[in-house]
Amino acid sequence: MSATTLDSSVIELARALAAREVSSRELVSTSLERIAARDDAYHAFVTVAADQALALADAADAERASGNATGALLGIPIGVKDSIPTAGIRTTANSRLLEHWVPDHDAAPIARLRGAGAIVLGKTNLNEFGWALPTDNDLAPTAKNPWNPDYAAIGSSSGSGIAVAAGFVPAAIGTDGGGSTRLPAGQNNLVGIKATHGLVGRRGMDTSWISEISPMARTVADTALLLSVMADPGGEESKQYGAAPDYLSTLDNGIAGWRLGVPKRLIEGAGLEDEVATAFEATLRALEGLGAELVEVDLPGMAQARAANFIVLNAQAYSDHAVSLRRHPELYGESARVYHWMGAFLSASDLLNARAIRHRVRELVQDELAGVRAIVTPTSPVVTAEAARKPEAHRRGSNAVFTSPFNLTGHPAMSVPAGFSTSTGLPIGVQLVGALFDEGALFQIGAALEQVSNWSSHRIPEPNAPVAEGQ
Amino acid sequence: MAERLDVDRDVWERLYPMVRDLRELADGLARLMPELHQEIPVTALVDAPGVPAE
Repeated sequence: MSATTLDSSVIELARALAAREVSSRELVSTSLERIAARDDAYHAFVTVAADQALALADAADAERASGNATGALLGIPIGVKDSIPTAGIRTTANSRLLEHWVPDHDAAPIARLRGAGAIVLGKTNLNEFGWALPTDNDLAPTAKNPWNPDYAAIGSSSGSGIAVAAGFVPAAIGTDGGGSTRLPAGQNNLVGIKATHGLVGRRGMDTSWISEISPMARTVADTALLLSVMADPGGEESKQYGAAPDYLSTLDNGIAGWRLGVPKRLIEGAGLEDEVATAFEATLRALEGLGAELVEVDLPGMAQARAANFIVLNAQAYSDHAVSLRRHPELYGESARVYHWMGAFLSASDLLNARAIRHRVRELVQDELAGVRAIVTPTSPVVTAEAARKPEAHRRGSNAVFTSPFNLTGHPAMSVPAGFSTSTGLPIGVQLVGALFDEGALFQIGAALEQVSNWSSHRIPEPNAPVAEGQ
Repeated sequence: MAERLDVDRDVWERLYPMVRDLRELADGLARLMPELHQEIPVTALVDAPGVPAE
């Protein structure tokens, strides 16, 4: 097998597998070899399910040889965030509390991916329970960004992002409760989408009303394919919208004449780093070049939505851990223990206020989207995880300024590659936000951008090579 | 409060400043409920210490 085969897209791999140019065993073996050789530097994976993956690869190859293969993802290895339950594979959430937990079930979208033939190669790293500052005393060490391992990988789906960027797997699944898929997608030159709330089921995981199980991959088409498999059009909140989504058929239709909203005041108020501002401006010019009309829009309620989302995250974190925090405090990391207690100091009134804001701002955003097909923002105002986590600068959480409001409102939002920071070598993302259940528009915009930018063809520097300037 | 909730003393010392910020945030949110139709600076409520990343 070519050394670069695993760097191909999911769709290219599916075609190569169908044409018998490569076997699933070869793909999975190459993934395992790469992880063994390089993951000590990045810590993308908490658990690698090598034996199970190889057995499933052989089964996929046998199914294909029988001539009865049907799954869109048959034999393709993927990574899954270690907070998402996976049947038969240890699921720790990078916590000592769950260090030995092997679920007997898959979360619903993982079952759908496996039903389409995807092979869960392993479980990817995160900060403990996705709700703590990472430390080297965690069950799995702090994830490093393979574009420049001097920097921590942004999270919380940090391992999923770096597993794809490092070429360990062609796609991975994260969760996104405030930006935790879009932010690592942006910082790893990937496409990552948080779908409309309710489109992707959460059965077998939890009942969060702001977090989504979310795919990320190198290309827009791959991400669209993954979401079309994960989506549950018969789900409680999405069944009113009817048929299963077919994002791929409209992907190449272009965006000429589309009106796209730019919330200028929101963006200016967030204080972008210069390199983010430069990449964002270049993306706006590219969108104009594609025939889109950019219009300035107001987005009222964003500050409140961001704060309300934070209230809900805290309430949920405490609610999930109230018993364990008292019974097994020693099994929490120092940071996780503190963060999970915070929600204990919120009232029912606080949570009801957050819910009221959710309904009102959802309407306001939907009204704004009646006049434009999508809204464009940077994914993060800062490039590095370190800038986002600097306590003395009071910047912690500031990187979710554009992402978290749309967790609260439930609107679909996707990060697409937008260039690189020349000072760090780290990628920068741009976020596209669409009307409820209009993921297709986001994929169409992303695909148009992909064709003119070519960022998706960029790969990480060879391990140990110096970071290139001006990528 | 810490004793009533059974929070360990060492945790409480780290937790208290963050809880204070969280309460300010929640109370500020309640005050700004009527202002939802206006565009206020997005950093107005959350740029406080104690807000975890991502």
